Amino acid sequence: MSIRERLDRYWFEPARLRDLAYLRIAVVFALLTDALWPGTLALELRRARLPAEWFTALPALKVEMLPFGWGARPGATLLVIAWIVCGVTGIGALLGAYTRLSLIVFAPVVTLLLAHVFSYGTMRHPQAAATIVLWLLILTPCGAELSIDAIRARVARSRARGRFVEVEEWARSRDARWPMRLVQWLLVSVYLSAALSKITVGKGAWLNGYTMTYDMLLDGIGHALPMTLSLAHVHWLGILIAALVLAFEATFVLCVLYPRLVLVYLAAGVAMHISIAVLMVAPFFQLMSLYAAFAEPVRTEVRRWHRAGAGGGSRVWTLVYDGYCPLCIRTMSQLAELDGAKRLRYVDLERDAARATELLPGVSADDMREEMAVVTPDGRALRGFFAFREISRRLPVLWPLVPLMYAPGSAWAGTRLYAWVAANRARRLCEGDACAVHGSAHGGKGETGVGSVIDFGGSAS
Amino acid sequence: MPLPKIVASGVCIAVLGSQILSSSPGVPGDGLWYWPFLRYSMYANAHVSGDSLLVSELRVARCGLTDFGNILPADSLGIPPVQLGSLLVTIGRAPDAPASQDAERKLGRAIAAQYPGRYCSASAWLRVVYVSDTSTYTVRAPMRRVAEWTLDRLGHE
Repeated sequence: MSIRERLDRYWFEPARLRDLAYLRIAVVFALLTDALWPGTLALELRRARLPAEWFTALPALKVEMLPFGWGARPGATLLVIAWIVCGVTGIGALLGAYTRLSLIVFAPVVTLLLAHVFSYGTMRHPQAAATIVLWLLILTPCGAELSIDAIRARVARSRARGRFVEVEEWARSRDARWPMRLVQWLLVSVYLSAALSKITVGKGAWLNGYTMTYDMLLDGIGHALPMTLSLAHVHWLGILIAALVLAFEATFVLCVLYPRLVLVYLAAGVAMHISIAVLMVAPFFQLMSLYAAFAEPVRTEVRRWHRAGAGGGSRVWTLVYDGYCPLCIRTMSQLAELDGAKRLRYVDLERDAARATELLPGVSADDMREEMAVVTPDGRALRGFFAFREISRRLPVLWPLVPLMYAPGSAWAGTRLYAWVAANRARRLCEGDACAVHGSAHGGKGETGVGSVIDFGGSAS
Repeated sequence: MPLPKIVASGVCIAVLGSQILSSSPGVPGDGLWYWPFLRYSMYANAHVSGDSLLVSELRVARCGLTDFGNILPADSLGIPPVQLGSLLVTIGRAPDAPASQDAERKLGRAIAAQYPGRYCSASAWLRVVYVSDTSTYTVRAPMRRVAEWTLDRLGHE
């Protein structure tokens, strides 16, 4: 294989869009949290009140403020508006609602707020690389998975087909590969820059232990941290920490060149940044969000370890649903989008009755239509509310609902709510190209009555 | 539709090139000017056992009072902490020097902008922490007033 082909494969071999979505969520979450953190807007406004002698606009701010004149300083009103827009579009980008549009607005607004707060002579490093990546994400299909846009697209596809079709393969794109490679190498250059600065500025003396003591004293006294000051007493600890930090930063490139080292390096990076955040109040969580670009090698390594340890048996939960029920089709489409680990399988009882009966022996087809069922890996069958409760435990996105589902009285209320929804949902029957809507098995009424026309956006399959 | 490879390649080269360039030693300035492309030189300076660091505080007195009981942290003034510390150390090292007087005036204008008309005088307080003397490693310790100046009440509204 020629060098050109190797480079092409390295940078453009299709990668999972879901991994790119992890990167979007991590970066947007980190920058959004930073922007909305209590006190951030107050600091922006306090800086805006300082006399002009304190203000030296960064070039990035000058460019963004160009409509108001070269070097213009944002006023309090503009900052408040920018902060509100940042919150709204940031949530949109995080959840993936109109993802590209949200990012197109969110990226410049975040940049404006950060560039303004850093235009007073001193800046902080943690947000810089994440800001670059935020702009980069605009060019990518990062909203194609794990997003409201993706759920809507999947539901629309199910509607167009008239049925839910499980997609076995992960969606892949070359536009998911190069952004993640770029972020990996951006991290390498960031850590290498930090290491080279220590080597060229501090020379060998940086490892003498006193440097670390000095820095711990500086932040320990500045932020009133007794634990940091007590650690500053231990000279050998200063030498050890300095050596570990320098070794990590200088050799981070190894985990990009040899992905089998990725777990070791990312764990070390997380430990280092959390220690710095706790001991020196210098949080680098925005930089850590870029570790999401290593989703693929991390997954590969975790699987390898898992296979080596426990034999790697895959555990799946099988859902049996009513394939003629639009609400069920929509729900299955949404669950399929949220199921990152592909732990759910789906059986349409109207099209695969034999499999459904095999999974739920002794349950009649009418009973199956009445309530969705889930069969756990150990063969336990749960129906209705209890099925949904079981699924919510398996999908991390639904974990926030779990405490509610297990709260006292939740089973009583949940079963009744489920029964009410099931009784009032629509069903459709299709023959050839014609589809009609029926009420529930118990007989619907009004708009869901027999013979109503339902728009699925195409003929039934 | 995927982004053309030539465009994607250009983006990768531009981003990585800018980052490497901005963190190169030969780049003019301190490498911080090209934000968000930065030189990651934080905590890069080396220190030795004979070094010491100056802990500083800006204290102010309300108009009509002489008590400097109010400590103004950098955040409350909207000033980066490093800059406040640097100005206070400048003032503390040679209170009568022109640079110190400039620093006093600069801080005075910042105080007047954030707290118009509330404070009439300010003072710089310092203490020394020696790397070689662990007895100075304390969160709180007595501080020494090294300078005091009257605020000209600019920005009084």
